[in-house]
Amino acid sequence: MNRSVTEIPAYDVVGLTARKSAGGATFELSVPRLMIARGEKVALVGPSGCGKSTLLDLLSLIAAPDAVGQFRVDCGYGAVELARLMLDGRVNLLAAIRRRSIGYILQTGGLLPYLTVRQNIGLSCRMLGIPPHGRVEAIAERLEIVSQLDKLPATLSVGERQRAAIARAVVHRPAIAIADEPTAALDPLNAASVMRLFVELAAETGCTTVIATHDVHRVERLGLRQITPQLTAGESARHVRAVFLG
Amino acid sequence: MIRDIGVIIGLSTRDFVHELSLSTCAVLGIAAILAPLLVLFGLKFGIVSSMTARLAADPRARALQPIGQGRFDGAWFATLEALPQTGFVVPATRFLAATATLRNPKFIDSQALTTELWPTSRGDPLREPDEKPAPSIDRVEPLTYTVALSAAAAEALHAAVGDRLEGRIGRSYNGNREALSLRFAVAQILNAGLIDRKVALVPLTVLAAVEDYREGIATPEFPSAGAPPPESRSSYASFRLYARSIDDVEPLRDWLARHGVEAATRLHDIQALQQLSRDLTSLFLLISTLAGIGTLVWIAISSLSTVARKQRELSLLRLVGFSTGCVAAFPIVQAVLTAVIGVVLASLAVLATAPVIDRMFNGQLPPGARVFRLHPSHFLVAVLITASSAAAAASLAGIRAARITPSEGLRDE
Repeated sequence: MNRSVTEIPAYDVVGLTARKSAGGATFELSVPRLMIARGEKVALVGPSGCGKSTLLDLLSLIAAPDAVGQFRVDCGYGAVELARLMLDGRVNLLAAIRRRSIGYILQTGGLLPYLTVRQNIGLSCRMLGIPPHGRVEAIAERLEIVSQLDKLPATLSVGERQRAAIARAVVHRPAIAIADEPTAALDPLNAASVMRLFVELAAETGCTTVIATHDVHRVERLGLRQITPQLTAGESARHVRAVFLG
Repeated sequence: MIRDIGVIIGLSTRDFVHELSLSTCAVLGIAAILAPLLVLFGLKFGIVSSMTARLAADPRARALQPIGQGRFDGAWFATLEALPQTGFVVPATRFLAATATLRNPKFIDSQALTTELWPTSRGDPLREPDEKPAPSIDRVEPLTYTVALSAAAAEALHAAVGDRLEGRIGRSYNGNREALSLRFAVAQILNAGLIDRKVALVPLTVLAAVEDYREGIATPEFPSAGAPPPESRSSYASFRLYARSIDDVEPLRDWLARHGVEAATRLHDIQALQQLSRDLTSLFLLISTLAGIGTLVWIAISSLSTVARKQRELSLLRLVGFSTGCVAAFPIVQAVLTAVIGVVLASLAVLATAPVIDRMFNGQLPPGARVFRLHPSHFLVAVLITASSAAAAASLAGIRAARITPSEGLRDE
């Protein structure tokens, strides 16, 4: 079941700005316009510190922008305009959208240490009231971690943990999957297979996918649309501006 | 929302179990504070309630003894008896007239004993201190009566229940000394400690007849010479009065005072006990407030440090879409769990030590009394108070947890 990319945008963002400052250095993320179609697979590519993670946090509704003109998201229930909610800090409304429709995969540590792998993967299903049985096993089979299901995350290898984290993020079939350097902590061999499995899984469910990575070659091979920020230094080297356009 | 709270309670509990050694320390910490508090409270409750019970069971604590003598008629007694505070009242004659010389013929060489005669009737608290019905004290046949002896009288006469005593009532009549012989069957011997004096409790009719006899008035009760009696006895010089409960002593004393009768009571003992109860309660509250503040501060701080330590996991909960309220509930659930298990543990420890404490005080208590007592509701109250205070103390950590933004703490950078 390979649903094709549609013309309907999953994200349609206009005029988004987010600033960060630490130790006198300032960083400004600027997104004049970003359109990601439903079912599309996008890679944010660039060196670390270029604002990829910041943009992912904005797209997954966990960070608030400093300014935004339009932030339309379509999770399969019609487009909703979230700019106002984000600026007003309505975090619980945004969390309710995130729990159903956005799966987030971190570089490491996307699992609760006190739950077994099975319970971790089934967490979103439990929150949504979906019976997790069958689904958890199926996705574990797909990610080759069936034998690890009843173990605690601490007893798994880094690669197994990352597969479990991917399973946890997409088992309830969110409309959008967001991954921040999902394979950066893995050895190259593992990294290749995990990335391939993730993209395949996303393709099978027709899930809109946004991956941040510094590994251009891998995403090229997997056929993702690449968005690379333009970095400009401000009046001093301590002021960096990253512009994402796509 | 309710499902989310359910899931959060489950997650928080799993985490609590997962970090077993830390959780155990926290639980033991709470139990270590609560156990001595429960012991202290149990001692306070046990001491006060056993002293109260002892006082309430002691009829002398409820006695109101008129000072001096008066003239109390039937209407006055009817009014007194009808008062809700009155437990028992029986008229009495003049003290001086109310004596008899008793002898126990079972022992040939037994000494004659001058005994006070007190009136009694059904429901006399001295004869029924433990609410058991006492044998009736009445006339058996002319000049023969059943009596109840005080322990001191019984001892002096070497008398046991069933013994028949010989009694002599002496008088001076028309210049001659003469005496009347009566027989008394011992029906009951009162508990030691109720009356220290040598007393025989007799029916009021006997007492009234003895008084008449000594005053030279002819009485149908005893065949003896005397002036003709009045149509009916118009008044009595005194009475024996007991309040219904120890709390009724004061109003009854005040009622008597309003009617010009001064009465000796043991109100002082009752008030001293009530004061002791209040003082012990204040002491307990003071100590538990100090311990409580310490506990609350400790729970608050340890919850805050837990939130700081688990920032990453709490961020993850926000990331998967839990509301801020749910994330706030996470440390609160653990604080409440710690508190409840701590109370249960402390209660078990206290229940285990209770017999030891009771044994320590064993010799100093009347049989059946326990110095250490806790009611099941006390444990329930302890659980509720501790759980709600723990929740309150952890709410600061809850607020801190709710403020964690999903993006902080998630990355190692």
